[in-house]
Amino acid sequence: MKLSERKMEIALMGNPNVGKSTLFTKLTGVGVMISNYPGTTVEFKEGSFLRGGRKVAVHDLPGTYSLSGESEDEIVAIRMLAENRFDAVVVVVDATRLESSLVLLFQVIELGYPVLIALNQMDIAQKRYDIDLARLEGILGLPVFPVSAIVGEGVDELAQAVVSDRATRTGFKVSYDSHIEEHLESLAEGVPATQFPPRGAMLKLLEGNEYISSLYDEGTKQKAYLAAKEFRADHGESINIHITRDRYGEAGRIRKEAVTPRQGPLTMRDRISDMTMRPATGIPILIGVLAFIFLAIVIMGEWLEHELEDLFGMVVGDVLVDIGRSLAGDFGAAVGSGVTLGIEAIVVLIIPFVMVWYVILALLEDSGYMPRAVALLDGVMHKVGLHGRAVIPMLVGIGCSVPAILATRTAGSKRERLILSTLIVMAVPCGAQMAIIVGLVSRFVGIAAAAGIFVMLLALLLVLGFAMDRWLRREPTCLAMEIPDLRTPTARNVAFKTYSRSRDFFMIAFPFLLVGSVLVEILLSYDAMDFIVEPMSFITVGILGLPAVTIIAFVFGILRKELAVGMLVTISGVGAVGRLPEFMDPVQFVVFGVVMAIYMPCLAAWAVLMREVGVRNALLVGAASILTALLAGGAVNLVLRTLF
Amino acid sequence: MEDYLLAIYRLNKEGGPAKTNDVAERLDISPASVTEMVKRLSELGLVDYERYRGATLTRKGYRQAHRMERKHRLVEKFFVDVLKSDADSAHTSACHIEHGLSDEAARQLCRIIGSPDECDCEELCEDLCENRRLGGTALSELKEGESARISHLICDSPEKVRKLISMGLVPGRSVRMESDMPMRGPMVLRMEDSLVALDRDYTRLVMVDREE
Repeated sequence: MKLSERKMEIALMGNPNVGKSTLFTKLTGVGVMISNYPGTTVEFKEGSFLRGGRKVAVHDLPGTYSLSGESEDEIVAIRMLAENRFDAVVVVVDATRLESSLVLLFQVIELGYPVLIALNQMDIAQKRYDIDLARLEGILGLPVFPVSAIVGEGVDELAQAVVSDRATRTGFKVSYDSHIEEHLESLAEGVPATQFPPRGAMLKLLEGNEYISSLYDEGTKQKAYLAAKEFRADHGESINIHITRDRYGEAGRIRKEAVTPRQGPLTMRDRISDMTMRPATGIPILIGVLAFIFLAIVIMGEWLEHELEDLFGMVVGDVLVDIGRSLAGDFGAAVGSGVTLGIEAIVVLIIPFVMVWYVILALLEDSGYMPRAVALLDGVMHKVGLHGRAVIPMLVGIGCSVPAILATRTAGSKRERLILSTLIVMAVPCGAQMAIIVGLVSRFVGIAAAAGIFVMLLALLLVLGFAMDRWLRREPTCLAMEIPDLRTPTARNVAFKTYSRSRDFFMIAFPFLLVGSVLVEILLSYDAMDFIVEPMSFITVGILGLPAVTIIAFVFGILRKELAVGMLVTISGVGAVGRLPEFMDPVQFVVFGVVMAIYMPCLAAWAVLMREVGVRNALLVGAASILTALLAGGAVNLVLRTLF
Repeated sequence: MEDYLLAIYRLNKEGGPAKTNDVAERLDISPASVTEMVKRLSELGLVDYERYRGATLTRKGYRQAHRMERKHRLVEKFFVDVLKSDADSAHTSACHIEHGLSDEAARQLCRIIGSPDECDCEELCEDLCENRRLGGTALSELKEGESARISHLICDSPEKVRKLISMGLVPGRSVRMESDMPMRGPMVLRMEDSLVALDRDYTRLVMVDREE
């Protein structure tokens, strides 16, 4: 066998939320984020697998409904298709939503690619329909492989088929309206050869696809343009609408032939799904879900915090201090204790609150509840200049702002992305900020105080959103989103997501912590702290009424928010998180919590912000956040001091 | 004969060639006489007829049917808007009048009951604007639980129309309005198996015919 025969390049294509990423993970073993809502994959992935002596490179293309090349995703998908000469395209078809999947399949076939069909979600589909696979294969002239990517069924057979070159160029054709066919015929005549078959390429030209048009000469383009124009004059509707209508017509016929629905009573799942979407029942459910999330984080988190604190004291104790002392005497011991405190702060604060949240987030994502909340909240969100889709990045932002800012890419317009990113950075507490609010404020001051801070942040979010909506020029984008079926989340995927999302808190926070502790100890031992502490005390003491040294925590908070708590424990000299009340009084905890929640995004978030919304905007957001934090902290201090 | 043409036109719109049986069912006429009529239409160059596959309008046939459909809607609108008759009797009257209405009279009628200046998309969708004037029901007017078949899309911004097409909202498909979200939120629509949340800015562009 020649080497060139051994290596293969294949692409995975399909509608959004059809399970491409799940299948990709199952095929290649490369872990990617999977959720039950459209648009999870914002950047396409590449991986490979080895089978039967052949190496297969797999490209996971973004999910699209068509290949017309209108949205960003479609342009990426069509360019990837055109530029990589894939040996096979695996079209992932959702067995429960055959029609829209088939419409995309037709377009891949028309462009002349050898195709394999992965008929996904078979586990769910079989409960509702009888699907005649042989009939489907017969009509389409393509091999069809039933899979349920989520449980991993059928993936093996699919991989085997890929390496056995089962992918087929089918003779199947969608028959279009006779006028479209006439145009196709006259256009395809004498057209210069490209990598695409003339009929398929001419369809794309009639649809006005820019990428494929660019492969042809002016004369051909002009002819296609005139044909489309003539069609519109004749029919009073654009040719795109007619082409797509015919594709859906064909898809509907195929579905009728190959799929027989089983008439059964409404399942429990259908009923719940229905309830989540009727305003009368949906709104109470939404409020219930949010209340549950808040209580789960506070109660579960505090319980875990307590347990972990004891465990940490038992396991780690003074080990690092002793190691430090043996390496570098008293200085080493001081660094050791700084690191110990920092780790304790991470373990005791971050793990309980961040991980509990990530489990909840994964459950929300995988169940398919998220898009339902999006639809319910869309009306309200319009009042603050966003649409309901913004709920998803915001919820992701409760974990970490970095992926949340990336997730704003689905928001549509630039303006919306800027509003959304600003709100995420300023008014949505990230995991570390959450841990400070719940782990310090709720624990040492009371649950009402923590709830108060959340209400304040919510108010900030609404005011900021409303104000930005007024200031920035309106570019309307409106919601158009498919709502997936409700599904029971799998423990495996929830665990994987929780793990990969919380990993950074350890992998990245740790080195920072080590360096930071060494730095602080050096500063302390040379009494150099006063250079920062004294000049800034007009803010810390004067405006905020906090101990002057808290400025160190604020400075480290700019690097990473979770460092702030460790530093607070170190500089306060109390020796453990649990003894912080000896250092600050309840009002100071609340003020500290407010300022930490609002001010300055951490370095990583800021870097992403800069990349996504531009340096100028990022600087503005940074400045605004510091100002707002000081104003809010000062106001809270003033009000609480007068009241208590 | 014009009724046949119109029936084929509507069946074509719902997707694909019109089968003889379907035409017969629609017009309440025996399939045999439909076959005969379709053959005559095909001799006149108005339809393409393939055995077993069914009939598709030719360009000439399409133009003729399209013009009649417009006249039909125009008369319907006139009866409902101006004469205040109910939709059913308007439809019945339109079925009779459409055949006798001259093009000139149709144009006059259009000038009286439509407002040509509400459209700003110029030449690009001149014909669509005519569709808009001829009225119909917008998807956004449906009530919870109502079903309808999409008749055409209004060209507002080409971008929105493309989005609608890509989400599968194309003429001929049935939609059911499942739920209307609060505070002028989106509508949740069911099409075959899929569920879609769609903002009002989109649903008002989709024109439908109500179904049982």
